[in-house]
Amino acid sequence: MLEFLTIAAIFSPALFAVILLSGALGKNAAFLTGVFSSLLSLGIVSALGTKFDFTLVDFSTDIYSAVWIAQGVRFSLAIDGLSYALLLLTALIFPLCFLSVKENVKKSFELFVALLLILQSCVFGLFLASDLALFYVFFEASLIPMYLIVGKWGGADRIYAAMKFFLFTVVGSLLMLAAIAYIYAEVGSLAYAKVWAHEFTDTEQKLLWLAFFAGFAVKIPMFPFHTWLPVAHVEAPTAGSVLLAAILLKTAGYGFLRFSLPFFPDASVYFADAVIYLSMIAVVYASFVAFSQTDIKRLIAYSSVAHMGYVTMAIFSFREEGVQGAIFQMISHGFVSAGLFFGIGVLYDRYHTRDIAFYGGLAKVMPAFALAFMVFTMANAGLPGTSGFIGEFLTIFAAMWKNGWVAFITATAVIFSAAYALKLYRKIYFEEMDAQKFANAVDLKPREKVILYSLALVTIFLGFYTAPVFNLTERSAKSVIGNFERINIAYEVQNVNFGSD
Amino acid sequence: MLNQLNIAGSELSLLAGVCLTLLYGVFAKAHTRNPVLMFITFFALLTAGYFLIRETSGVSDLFGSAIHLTEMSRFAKLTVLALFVPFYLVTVRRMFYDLTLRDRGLEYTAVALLALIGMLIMISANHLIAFYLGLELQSLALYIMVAFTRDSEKSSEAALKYLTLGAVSSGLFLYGASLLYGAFGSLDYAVIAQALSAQEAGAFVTVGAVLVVCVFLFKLGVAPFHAWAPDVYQGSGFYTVMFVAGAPKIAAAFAFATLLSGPFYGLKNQLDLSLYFAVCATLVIGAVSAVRQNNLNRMLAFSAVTHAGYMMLTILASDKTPNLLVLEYPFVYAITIIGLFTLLEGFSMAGEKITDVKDLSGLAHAKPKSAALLSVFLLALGGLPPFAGFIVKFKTLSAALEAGLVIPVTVAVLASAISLFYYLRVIRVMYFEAPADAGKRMNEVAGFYYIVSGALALAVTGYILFPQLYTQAARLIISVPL
Repeated sequence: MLEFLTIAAIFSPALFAVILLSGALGKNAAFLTGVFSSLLSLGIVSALGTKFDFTLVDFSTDIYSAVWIAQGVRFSLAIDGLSYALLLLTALIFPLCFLSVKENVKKSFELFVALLLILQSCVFGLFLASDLALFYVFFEASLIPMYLIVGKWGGADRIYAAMKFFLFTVVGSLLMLAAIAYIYAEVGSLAYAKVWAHEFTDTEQKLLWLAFFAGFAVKIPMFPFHTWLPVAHVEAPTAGSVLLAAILLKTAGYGFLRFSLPFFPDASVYFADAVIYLSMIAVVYASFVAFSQTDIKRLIAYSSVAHMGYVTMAIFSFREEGVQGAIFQMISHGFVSAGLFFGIGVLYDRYHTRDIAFYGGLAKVMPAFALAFMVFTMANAGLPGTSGFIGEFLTIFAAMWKNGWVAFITATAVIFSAAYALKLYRKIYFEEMDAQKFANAVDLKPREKVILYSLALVTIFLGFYTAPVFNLTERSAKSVIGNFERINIAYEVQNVNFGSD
Repeated sequence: MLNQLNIAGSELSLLAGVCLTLLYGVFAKAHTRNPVLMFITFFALLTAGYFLIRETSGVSDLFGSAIHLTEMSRFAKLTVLALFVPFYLVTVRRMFYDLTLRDRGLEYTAVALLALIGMLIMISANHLIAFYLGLELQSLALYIMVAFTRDSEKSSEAALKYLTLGAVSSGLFLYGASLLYGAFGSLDYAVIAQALSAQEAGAFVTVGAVLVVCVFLFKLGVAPFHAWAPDVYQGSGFYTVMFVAGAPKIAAAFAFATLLSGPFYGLKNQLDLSLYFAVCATLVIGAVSAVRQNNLNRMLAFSAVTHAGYMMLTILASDKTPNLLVLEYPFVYAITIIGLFTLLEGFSMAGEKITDVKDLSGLAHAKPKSAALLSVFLLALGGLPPFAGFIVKFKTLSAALEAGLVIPVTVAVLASAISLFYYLRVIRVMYFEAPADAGKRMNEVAGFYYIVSGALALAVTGYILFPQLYTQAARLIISVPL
């Protein structure tokens, strides 16, 4: 039963995609298929959740395993709290995406829906794969639908954006492929538990870590590998931006937690400072850059870079609260960025511009929309009471143990994030309204209301009640951190930095 | 003696096929003979396959030991035969519907079968001269096939270049072989192997071996012997390239692996460095040159050069016996490229001229199915998951790393990143760009081509779910553990 559920979760969207690609269905049927398939996936993922006690399950026991490329390279699937949290995020975001696409995707609608479904299959697969090669297949295969989505349905500069997105990420992940091939040659197996148990030499660890880092750092994206993200976000259609920000960036954070840290603990410690400083730069720099943007999507894209900076910083603090915070931040950012991009989609559908200066005073004519967007803006700024606060707080808290100055600077950057988020909100919703331009403004339609309000509710809910996520991920966080316990003790003993204890 | 001839049963049945074809051609009228030709060819193929599948009764040597049939070489021959099927189906379609090939289908069939025989001989050759005979039979037949469109300048130019360069490499081979003969008194693989294991190779032997190796590099399209590839691909029809690009690579790769892991095993130290260099150069030259090509076939030719680099990696990763990857990599590559060219052939039969990448612009609007199929093949060539190309790429990289080829693997990975750029460029043109001539309607491509290339696309995609299919098929023939 479990095997069936996990396999069905991965392949059912792809199956519906094949039906769509065969060209038998029209636009309405395609829309319904998308919604139905994504609800079905949500059902399957929920059913999976009831089958496990996530305080007990461990990723090194496979749910399903069959010989695939070779004896040591198997089609094996496993699950734990971390995987499940991200699976659930994916399963929740996708139905909203399908709901949103019906009117704003004009050409080749069936193909668009089919690509989204294939993407969903890939993402489910990569969160469930417990074999490195299998993970890689899904990780890399997810590029193809995204490439086509950005390139075919994107804005004016879509081709450049799609190529840049693809080539950046593919170069990173090819290095990872070489590393995986090396691990296979060395260990003789790519099974999660086997690789984890293998002790690599120091040099091996460092080189392999760097290769994995190349794959994940580009994807998450970390400063200075982030330059593809603003371009891709700006050009992608709404659903593409949402999925990119809410889900695809998380696959890299997941990769760090799942593979880099457990497999190469010594190298992780060796490179931790570099990652933390890069993350700090990302947080501060991206916030500043976001502040000066005139394009709404670009602004949100840079804020994504900043928020992912918190995630990498928290992960490489090697503390349990840090890892918990990183996971929480990923989940939270999944909902918040989805809300922001859907919100921009609402504006873009009506006025076909992303120029901040074009808008003003919308709170008067679109109050329902302004309310929902307010929630996401506040969460983006990390206001307590929204889900955005928890992750940032835990990150800074964890960073404090490592380096007080880093924590201080990062905490200061939270103010910058408030600055750009509030500036955006003020310009669009308050200030002077050009009555003529917005005379016929239509507030949220029912479909948009469902999307934005459900996301807003989750954002607030998680801001007050964090237990659902933390209970889910506690064991995963502990097991990731297990290796690093001794390192942290060493830190605490000699920690004379500002801000500790 | 009869028992011994069983070993050459597959070659002989194909030869019988050729003779029958030619004889029949004398008596039948040009425009009515094609169905019978098709029947003869497929019958010959089936018989050849039968001789390879059935158990041999312990005997494996023929003509002294000039021909040596192992389980692995039987499987290699079966692979080559299998690849002949889709190629010949496409050719037959052209023989029925296209005037240029209708009346000359006889010659084309006979020559293609002769090339096939040549490849089979190359695969089981156990003697440098036996190998040379197979090689020349195959090469001469291929020259003719490339030159087949007589009224095309490009085709003649391609054939002439191919012939000239091929003659040079054959000359090098013969010169090298004569040096080896001077050193060992025999060109039998076993004799060479024994002599080289007994004593260190002298300068003469090394020079001879390097010259012999050149012809394999030429056949595989490995730099610096790759210069023929772009012209041949550009100059000949899609149905010919389909053949040139696929099966001969398998024969050459397998023969090369047999040579390196057998007689030349003792020369590993002397040869390896230059071969590493050739691999790296091939990967880089192939990837970088393809980026700037506008002609689709030229681009695919350089992509073939990059793939030849990967094939070399599988060969170098073999130790005392050829790795099965030596067959699997070119097989998967051939399936992919045959699928791709089948579709392009469909366009050319429909009267759509597709020579440049630009000619494909907006294809996703006009012909969504073709665009999707082409994308599958291109992404598979690029080695992206979830397509077969990824599986063999992964297997190759890990096999090569296991053999300690760290630097070539690094270069291979970088080359594959570059090569994705130009595969994606084609997809970009098909999906993201508007058709060059928006008002023009494209001619309908015959369903036949969709069926053939669709089946191949399915195989290329389904391979990700059953990546052991080829190995399992090999186990049916090969009893030793792989």
